[in-house]
Amino acid sequence: MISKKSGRKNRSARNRKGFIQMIEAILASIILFGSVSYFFMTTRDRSEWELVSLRTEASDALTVLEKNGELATYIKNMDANMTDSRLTELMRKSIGFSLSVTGMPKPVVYIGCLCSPGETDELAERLMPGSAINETFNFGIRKMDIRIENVTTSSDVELMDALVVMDKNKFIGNLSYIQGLLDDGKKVVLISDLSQADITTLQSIFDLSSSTGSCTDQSFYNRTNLDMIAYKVSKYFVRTPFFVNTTTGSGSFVIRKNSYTIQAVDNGTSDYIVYNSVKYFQGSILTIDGSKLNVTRISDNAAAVDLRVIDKNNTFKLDSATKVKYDASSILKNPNGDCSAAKTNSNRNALWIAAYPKTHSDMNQLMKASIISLADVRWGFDPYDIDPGQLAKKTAPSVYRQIERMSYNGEDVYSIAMKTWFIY
Amino acid sequence: MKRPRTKAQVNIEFIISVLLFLFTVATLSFNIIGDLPRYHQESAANILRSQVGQISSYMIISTGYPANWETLSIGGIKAIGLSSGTEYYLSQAKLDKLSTLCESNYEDVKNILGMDYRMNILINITKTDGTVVASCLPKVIAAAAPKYWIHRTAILGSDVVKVDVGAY
Repeated sequence: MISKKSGRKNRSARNRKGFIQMIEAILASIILFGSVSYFFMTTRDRSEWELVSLRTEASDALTVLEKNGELATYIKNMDANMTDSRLTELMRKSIGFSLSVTGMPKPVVYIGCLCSPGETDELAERLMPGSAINETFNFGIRKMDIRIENVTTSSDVELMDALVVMDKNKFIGNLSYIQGLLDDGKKVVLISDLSQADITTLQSIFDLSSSTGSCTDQSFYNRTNLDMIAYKVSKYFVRTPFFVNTTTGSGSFVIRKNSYTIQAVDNGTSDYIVYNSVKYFQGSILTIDGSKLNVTRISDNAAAVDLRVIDKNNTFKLDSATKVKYDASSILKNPNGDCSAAKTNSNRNALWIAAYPKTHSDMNQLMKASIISLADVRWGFDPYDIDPGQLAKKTAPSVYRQIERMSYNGEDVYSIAMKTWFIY
Repeated sequence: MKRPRTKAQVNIEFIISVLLFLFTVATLSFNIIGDLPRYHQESAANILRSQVGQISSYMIISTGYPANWETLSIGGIKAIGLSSGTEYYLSQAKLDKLSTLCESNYEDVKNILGMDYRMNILINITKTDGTVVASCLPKVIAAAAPKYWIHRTAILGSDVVKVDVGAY
């Protein structure tokens, strides 16, 4: 017989059992909801198709303009309006875009000279044509111009691409100013011999260290390696002319420390120069002391002649007493030693060239090519990075696709980056 | 003999537990089943998008097969490409032929392009000023059906043309 007390006990046990069953059911439901929802009801990612189509459309537009040659022309002329207008025409109105081009020489290079007036004139002579007389020169298939202005540390240098200093003491005396320019994205150039103490002082700007070798004979360092600065400078070097003043009917220039004289003959529409009793017309090539030179331009009345050394294996002769050790950022190096007479830093925004006489035409050609290379263009219309006021008419993207490609316009390999996004 | 009081009886807690469990299973099942049409629709849309992408790419990159298909009758055409031989450069003769074929043999063109008989292809090739250069459209276009487009660009002679390929 079950006692009253034990009956209560059993009922209580049954109630507890029922309660536990409910708890079990609730737990099972929670687990089911949790696990099944995780596998079947997770939020699906937004479809990528629209972004694929965005990328395809932008890529097509660039490809077509590249293939029919329009883009190369716009980029060569830095015609932002036409580029913008054509790309807008070829893509849907709902697509916004920005474009940037890097790696091409600028059509106009602005140089500030932290110099005395005499030094500025000397720099202009070294960089002629295209400097003091504010005249363009032929740089490969395009026209270029170099403009020089004397600047002080308080000048407005907004437009300036590179600051040139020819007095090392002035350079060392304004190190903080120069560092500020580098921080602002400007380039600096020092043309000077350096003592051991100077090498130590300027180590951080130019990545300099001392060498013990001879620096008299120099050639491009590892110029076939695409990653080297010498590759680019040597490419620009063979396109950059130097200037020979022939207003008196003849003029001299210096290659490898040897002086040569040419006669320039005004012959109506077919002016020519004479060297070693041989006539050379514009565009022809003469060989002097083993170096090939192109007659790039004979000016009206044969008053000026532009020549350029077109041999990338050219050897440069210097008298520099400076002993700087070469590294991967060297432009020149002696063939069988470790001395460099022209080098940049690893950021390629500071260039040092050993002092040389201003009459040395091949070195002037090299210096000009190096400065043009340093001041390479970064052009385009980008609401974020470049010249915010210019053509920045699209709203900022939250999701975008970027197309990057290398392009070739028959002369320069440059990089194009295009960002595209949906405006709405 | 006296039977125990609890045999063949189900207490209320057990009933609630089972109901709760069944409710959970039912809710989840309905949710999953309810999502299936959407999955199917998205899958069908992705197939269409993928097809228009492939067709548009093939058209602007390839000459088709045989390469001189524009000179053949519909029976001899294996693949329709609009390129003149250089990628992105279209052939006017091929564009003309495509328009003509679509007028008379739209279903056959659809077959050659690999489209399912239930689906339709829409091709519009226009100059940047809007002038239609070629088109391939069904006789009747279902206005309400969702259409998936891809917009491409190519070159025709000295003009840049827009190649819009869609399907539904």
